[in-house]
Amino acid sequence: MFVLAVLRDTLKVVPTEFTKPREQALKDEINRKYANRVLHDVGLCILAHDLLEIDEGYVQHSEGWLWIKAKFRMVVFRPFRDEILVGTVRSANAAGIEATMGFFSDIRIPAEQMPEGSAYDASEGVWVWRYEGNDLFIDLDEPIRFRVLETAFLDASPPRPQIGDADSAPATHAPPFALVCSIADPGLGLLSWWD
Amino acid sequence: MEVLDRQEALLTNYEVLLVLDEESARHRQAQEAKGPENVTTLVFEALEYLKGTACPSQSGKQIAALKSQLAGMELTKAELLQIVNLRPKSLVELHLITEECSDRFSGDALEQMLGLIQRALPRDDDDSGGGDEGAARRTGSMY
Repeated sequence: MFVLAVLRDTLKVVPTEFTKPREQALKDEINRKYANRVLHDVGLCILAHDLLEIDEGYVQHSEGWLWIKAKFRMVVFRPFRDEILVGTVRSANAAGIEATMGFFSDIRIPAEQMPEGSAYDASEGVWVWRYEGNDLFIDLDEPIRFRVLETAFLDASPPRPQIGDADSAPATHAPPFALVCSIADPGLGLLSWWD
Repeated sequence: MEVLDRQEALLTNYEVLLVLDEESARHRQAQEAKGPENVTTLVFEALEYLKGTACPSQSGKQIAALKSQLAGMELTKAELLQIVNLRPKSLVELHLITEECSDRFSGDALEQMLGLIQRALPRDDDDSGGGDEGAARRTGSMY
């Protein structure tokens, strides 16, 4: 689920941070800059793990910041293909189910990846797995186990300027990093089915 | 910014929990100067999630011990990682985690593996008594 990625960047330390040990000030700056952000083809950054190399730093004229080149390791959320993860059901519609892991919510289980014999119950707004005469509902907020089929990165460019009435349609952005998952195999789906 | 290695190593949930715990403890100490919002949000949400998994009850020693006990089983790194993260309790979970499971392992080997995992990574929600094992056998019998 989590991996270590090695990154290099030039980081700035503002003067109010000079009271901290340099390593801590740099880690804080890395976290401020990267935590909870998606790096394309890398994953969702969690926190700085450790620093590998830092140089002595330099101060540019006309500003008081200290710029330091650092090589560091970052904890990154990047599930691999076929990894089994557990989350909760966030929403459901005819196209499939969306799941969340709290800190990461762009998890899609499309309709064709449901167990055989599943159908969307529009009146209840949930998916139902009809298994041997039993109706097993995939209720919202239930813990669910799924297999990762695909990690999809989208290089999101900045949104284009809105033409016309900007308030009428809320902009929907495609997530920069999303998981496409399956619950079609035995053992997958709601945890309560398999206990 | 430059990405030198997208994936230098895999981390277990337990290792990530340690990093998050450390950061959250530091935030608690320095109360007046809370960290930036993206950091506090992420630390809070990720901790919430990880506390709901198997990792808070684990220790580095336990994981290392389990790894050496499972060394003879020829599991891949990814499979070992998932065993530690998910701590499977039933055969059906082991089948999910391991590729080509029924070709590589006999039923006895899998039972033995489950036993090893259960002993090496004890959990509070393990039922004592046969109820849990019975359930594991039932779901396992689907194969």
